[in-house]
Amino acid sequence: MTKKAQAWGTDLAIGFMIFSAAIVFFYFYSFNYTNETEDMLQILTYEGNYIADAIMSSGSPTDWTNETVQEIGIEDDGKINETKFERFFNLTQSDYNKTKTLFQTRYDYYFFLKNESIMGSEGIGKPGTNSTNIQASNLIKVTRFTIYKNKPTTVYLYIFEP
Amino acid sequence: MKTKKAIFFSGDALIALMIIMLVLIIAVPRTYNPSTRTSIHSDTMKVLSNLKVGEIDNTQIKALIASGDIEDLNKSILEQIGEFYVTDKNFARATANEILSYLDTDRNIGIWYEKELIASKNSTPIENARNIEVERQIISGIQEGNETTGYSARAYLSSDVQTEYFYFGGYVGDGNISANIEYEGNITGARIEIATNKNFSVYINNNYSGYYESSTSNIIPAQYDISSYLSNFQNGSNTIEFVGEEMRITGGYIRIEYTGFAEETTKQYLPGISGLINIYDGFYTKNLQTLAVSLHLDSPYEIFLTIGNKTIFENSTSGEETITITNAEISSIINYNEIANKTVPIRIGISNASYVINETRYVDAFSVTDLSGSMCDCSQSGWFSTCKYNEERCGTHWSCSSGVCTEGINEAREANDAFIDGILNASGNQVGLAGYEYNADLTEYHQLSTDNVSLKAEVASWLAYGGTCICCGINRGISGFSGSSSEKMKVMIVMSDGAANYGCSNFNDFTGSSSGSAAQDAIDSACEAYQNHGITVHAIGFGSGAEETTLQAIAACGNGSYYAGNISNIVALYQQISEEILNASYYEQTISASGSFAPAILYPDSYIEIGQTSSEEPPRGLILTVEEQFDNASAGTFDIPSDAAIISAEAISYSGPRWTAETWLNGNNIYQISDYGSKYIDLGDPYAISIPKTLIQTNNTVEIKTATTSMNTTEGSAYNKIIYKIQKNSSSYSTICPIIDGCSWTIEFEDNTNITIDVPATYNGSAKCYYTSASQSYDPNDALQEATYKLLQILDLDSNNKIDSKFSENNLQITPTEIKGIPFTWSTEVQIRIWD
Repeated sequence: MTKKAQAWGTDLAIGFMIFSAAIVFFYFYSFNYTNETEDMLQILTYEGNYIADAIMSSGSPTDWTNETVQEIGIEDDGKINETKFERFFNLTQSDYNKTKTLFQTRYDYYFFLKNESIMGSEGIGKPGTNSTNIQASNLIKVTRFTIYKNKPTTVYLYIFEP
Repeated sequence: MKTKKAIFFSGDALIALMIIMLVLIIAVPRTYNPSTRTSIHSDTMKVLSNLKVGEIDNTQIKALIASGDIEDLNKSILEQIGEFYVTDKNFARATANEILSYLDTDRNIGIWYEKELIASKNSTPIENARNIEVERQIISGIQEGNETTGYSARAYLSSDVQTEYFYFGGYVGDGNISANIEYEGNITGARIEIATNKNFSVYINNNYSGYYESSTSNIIPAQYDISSYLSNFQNGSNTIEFVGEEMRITGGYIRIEYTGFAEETTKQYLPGISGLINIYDGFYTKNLQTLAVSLHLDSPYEIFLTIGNKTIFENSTSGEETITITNAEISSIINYNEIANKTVPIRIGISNASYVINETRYVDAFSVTDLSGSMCDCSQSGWFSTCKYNEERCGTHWSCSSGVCTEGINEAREANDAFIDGILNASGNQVGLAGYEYNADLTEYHQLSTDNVSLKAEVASWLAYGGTCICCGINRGISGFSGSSSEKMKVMIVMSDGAANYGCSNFNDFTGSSSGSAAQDAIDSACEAYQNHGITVHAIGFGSGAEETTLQAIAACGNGSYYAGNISNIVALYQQISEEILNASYYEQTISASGSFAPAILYPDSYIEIGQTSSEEPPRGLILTVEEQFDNASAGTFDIPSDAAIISAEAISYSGPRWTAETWLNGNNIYQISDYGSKYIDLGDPYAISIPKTLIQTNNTVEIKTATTSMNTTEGSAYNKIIYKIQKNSSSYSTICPIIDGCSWTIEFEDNTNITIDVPATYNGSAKCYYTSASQSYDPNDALQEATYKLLQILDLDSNNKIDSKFSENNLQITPTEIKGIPFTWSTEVQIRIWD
């Protein structure tokens, strides 16, 4: 009887240790995983807002073209300039990576207007992307409000890590 | 036992469960909830601010425009909501919600005007918010309970009334006088201010324009209003002619006022003369670069033109001719650097006038010559020269060896001979001689005479010896004029080579009997000669031993000039003086004529053209011309208002037949005739002396002195003036007022006269406004009335509720302008808040 009781006690102690080790492993795994996600989302948030601010400016130079552009911006006097908007679209079509360089980001983005299309597309950004087919491990959506074609318009920017 | 085992297993499971729960409790709070910075409220404010109601593609807002509920299509949505916030909150809410309907966001957002929520899009009420972010903006002109638009008005004085002056010179004569004056526009006023010697008629462009009395004095001008003859004027060039017998103008001007635009001219027209051309004038060489002269003349006599002290023209004409003197010709004679930016005298007259006119004044001249021992240089051997200090002549005293004077007396004799020849060159003149040493003996005297031979014989008999009694010589000369006609010019030339050492006990003392101050006695005798006998006394210091101080005082008190001579130039000096005496037969600036003579004509289209290095744009705005009379015969003051800029200023001088000798501004000399020489008879005499703008301060004092020679400077005329032009602030603005209507204004001027004018001119209401010493009333809620009142305050320089009399009524044209829709100064804060 006495031996049996000891056996149960040892089993319990060993089981507890194994269980505790699993719990500790799980805990630290979860902790590290959460921090990585948090950092990434913070980066994406920062860069998303930076890119949105850039897009909703006049750009540099203010009359920039594909050849002269230093900063991409599509607004003048608080309103979307359709010419610049088209240039932005064309630039992403011809050299998407250049636009990423100009936005100083290594992440992908997708910019579009609510209920509006540009050059027959829903939006501007990573080729082949639209607002519904983005495949990303981390994604941030930035919402802005501006004037397009004499109407208040909501615009969105997705920035994401594939 | 079974029961015990169950207890153990249950306890293990319970412990394991507790551990799992504990891990989960710790792990769950570590899940990431990313911060979500948003600019959506800032974006919304920008959309509201940047989008105009006339632009927005929105059915509901277009309907409001169509219904007239929205009038100003240039307003931003933000301002329009603000206006609706004041006028109709339902419209405000509808419009704001319409804008928010375009916004797709999961954030709570609301628009507040002041503390009132106008529109929102939210899932939770703000009262439950954990975080609130706010974007603010102020919109002006909007305040609940007040008007949303007002009126502003500007009142100003029109300056299309111009003032133009034609200044006559310091002396313009003698005969019929004319002036050329130009303008482009409609003449509204004309007057003349001149000092003249004769009654005269005025003809404007050959049309009779009145007969007028002369002024009371040649330094006291009279004013003549010729406004009733404005119809005789014409656009462009006008000739105003003054017709009077042997008329002369000793300073004055013609002033016209007209509506139009003044253009700066580089020409200064000369006064026209038909008679004896005798002009003393001046001109201002502002930014001088080139000079040219056009003289339109018809003169059988030689006419000369002197600028400064340089004669640039001297010739007669064969009938009527226009003579052009080019810049090249003038610049070869005059150094422009010496006369630039100054008032320069100009003189135009008839050469050798005494030959042209029947006669000038005859001259009686006495030469009073020092024959003391010092006039003899006994220098042929060393110690002989001491003889003259023993008051003896060379070679006759026991202590002197024989010898003759080699220098001094010989030159004095030659000089006197030249003087005799010079004066007697013109018939009717007489010369007398008075030699002196320790007395003025009759053996060295010759009475006034036209006998050239006799006079020169007397000179030849003169010997040098003895002391020096200058007063004896002067007294002898005075006595010699006893038979001289009062019509004649009396001149005495006193020469000395040393110090006076014999005095006189009275003015009839020719013996040198006084033991008092010999020098002062000589000065007193000169004063007696001028003051009580009308004899002008000139003095000559001969050689280095002459006592200049005494001789200068003699000339000063004798109203003459002092000259310094020596062995080499004494003869030439006497010749020069004799010529000057003849020239001085022009009595001061006046030329005397009798008998018949053919008139010389200088036409009034003659001019001096001053090419300038730079030109100034004609001043715009309200230009006021102010005339400020002197406080007394010496000085006058003028002040420049703080909100005015000086354009030009002149001091005008009624110097009569004398010369304006000095002009000072605030202690700075701005004109000095002696800069051009001491012989004033050859120099011009400006009537208007330009005052440099750079020297003009807020408070200014101008002083003027006149003279006939450099030694007799006196004060000028109490009727002198400062005439200056200022550009003055002439506009005022009202605050934003709820009404703009106008008023019938009664305005009192400094001279206590009133005018009543409607502002605006089309006003036909019943409102009465006053700017008078008795009443100040207007409606401050009326933009026009307030602007007008503020303008009148500006024009009330001394704040005595009267518009300053310096401003002509003709200058006052009040023209208000109104602007609708000026926002009021009150404001409302708009907030756009987001919260979660």
